[in-house]
Amino acid sequence: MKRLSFLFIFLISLSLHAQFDAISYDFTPNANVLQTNPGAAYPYQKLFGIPLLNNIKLFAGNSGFTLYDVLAPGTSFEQKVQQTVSHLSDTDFIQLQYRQDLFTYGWTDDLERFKYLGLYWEFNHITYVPGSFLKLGLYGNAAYLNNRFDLSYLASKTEIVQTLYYGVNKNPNPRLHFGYRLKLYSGLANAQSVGNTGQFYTTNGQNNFYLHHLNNLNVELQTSGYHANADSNYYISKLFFSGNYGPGIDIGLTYKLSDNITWSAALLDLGFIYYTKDIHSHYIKGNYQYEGVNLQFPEQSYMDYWKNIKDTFKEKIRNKDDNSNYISWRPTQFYTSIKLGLGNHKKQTCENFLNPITKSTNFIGLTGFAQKQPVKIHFGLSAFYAQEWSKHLYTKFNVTADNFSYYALGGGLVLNLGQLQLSLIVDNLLGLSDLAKSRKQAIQFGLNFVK
Amino acid sequence: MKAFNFFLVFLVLSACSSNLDFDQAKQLDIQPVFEGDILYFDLHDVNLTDQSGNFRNVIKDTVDFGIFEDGKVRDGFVKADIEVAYNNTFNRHFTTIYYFIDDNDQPVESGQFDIAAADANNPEINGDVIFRFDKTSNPDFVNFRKIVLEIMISPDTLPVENKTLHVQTKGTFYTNLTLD
Repeated sequence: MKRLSFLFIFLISLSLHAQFDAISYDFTPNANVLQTNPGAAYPYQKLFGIPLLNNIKLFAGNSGFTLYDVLAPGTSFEQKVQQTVSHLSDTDFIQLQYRQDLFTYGWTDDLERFKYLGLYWEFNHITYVPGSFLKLGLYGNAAYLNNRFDLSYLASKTEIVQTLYYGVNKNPNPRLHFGYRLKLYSGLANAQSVGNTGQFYTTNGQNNFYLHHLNNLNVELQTSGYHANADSNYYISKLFFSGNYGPGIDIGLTYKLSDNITWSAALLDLGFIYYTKDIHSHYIKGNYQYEGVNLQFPEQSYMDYWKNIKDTFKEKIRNKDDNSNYISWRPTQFYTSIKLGLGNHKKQTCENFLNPITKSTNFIGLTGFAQKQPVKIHFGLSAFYAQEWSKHLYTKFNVTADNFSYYALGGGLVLNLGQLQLSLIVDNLLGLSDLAKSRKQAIQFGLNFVK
Repeated sequence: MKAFNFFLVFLVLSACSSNLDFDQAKQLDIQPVFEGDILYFDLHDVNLTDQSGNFRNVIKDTVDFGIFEDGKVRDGFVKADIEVAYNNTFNRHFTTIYYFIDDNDQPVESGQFDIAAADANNPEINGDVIFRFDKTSNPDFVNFRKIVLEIMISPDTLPVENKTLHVQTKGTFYTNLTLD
């Protein structure tokens, strides 16, 4: 066993998209909780996130295999690759995310509404690794002549996005918290191949052994942000005015069903970016069938069969550059949670000394998650236990089932040192014992001044 | 409380990993097998005579085959099975030869088979032939760039009927590729 700060290597060695933030969702003592539910029961009046050091999040996940599966020492590499590929489904994927707040500032207005604004940037990547295509590459088509290879599983999306936001969190009545956050996205770079369609497959032929089909092919790669002759100044200027903008909104609410039971829900990143700058895209579209060369036995002339086949292929399958503007939808996420308060304690302060309020300090609950991704909607479910140890220390433990694991244990800690708040969230704690065998790891760090 | 803090700090700082051998990933050897149609034809009575109506003893056609122009394909090729299936309803016997020829029009391999004539008792002759070519036994096989198909028709005094000879051909190519 090697002891090393392997986390970093692990994260960058995989090729980063918003994933299930089960621990940070509705973890209300965390000053950054409005990032996952703008309608959370926010307990603070003022907020100042330490610039560049707040809300730093790193996530890497691989739904189909671990690094150890393919890179373990000993048995042959070929065997490990074959065994790994044999277990992959067409919807397995690799996902990476890096996110960092540039600044966050929040205040409470005269109407007791908490308002906040900020700027963050994120790098997201998701690539599907469809097992059927990998098997085709490893073993060839001979063993899969009856299979249909669905090109919709060929999907990938990488983006660097900067988001400027302004949010409002209100408490219109004692049972309800409601909030929204308006966003202006600025797309610094994007490369995506999503929404592809088409199949290729082989059937028994009439004229020859087989009939090979390319059916309803529509595959497109869209990119924005790369400029061949640009220098670093060009890209620095893009940091602030990318030219690729789009609107977005987050909305959320928390409703107290009873003294002990609270329900919440949030819809995040409902929006898009309209890419207009430095666009280089390419598409392949059409239908084609092939059954071999049909010999004609001409008496005199030579027939260039392959030229005919190539010409027909080019005519049927259009393969072109397309530099028109395009829309990239944000990976919209939906969260919902039900929370049960346990261990009610009378909370007595100078202000309510004669009539102390009842407050739970321990909570259990369930959080559900859904996110729209290029090939399918990703779901997750998490059970949690949260505890307020004192007004200085809060913890939360989650056991999460999602695309990566059925039982990932995660933990969160919020520590208030006067007005300075430090938060640390680590997902898949058990994975830390052997990162090479872990399918996902996430770490999130927050540093805020709160009041 | 202290225990919890210690637990978290311990977990994060004690992150470990099993040994991984990244060097092995520099190269991957795979043995994919590709199968697909190559050619097919239908001979009809009109194909057996020339424009003047004279009987043709031999008919021939050539088709380019460019797969082995790529050096990596040549290197990775191991062997090929060329499978031919036929259906003859002519009252003629055919000798069919597949020549695999190089850029200098020299055959590097060939395969020959006979197709029996149909008659009243056997109005339809079906058959299947497989030619196996191995790079070990014939390294020149990867130099072939064209397939010449020659069909010799047995002379006969019987009139040519309005029948057909249907031939279809597919190839199965075994490879051993190294991905760097």
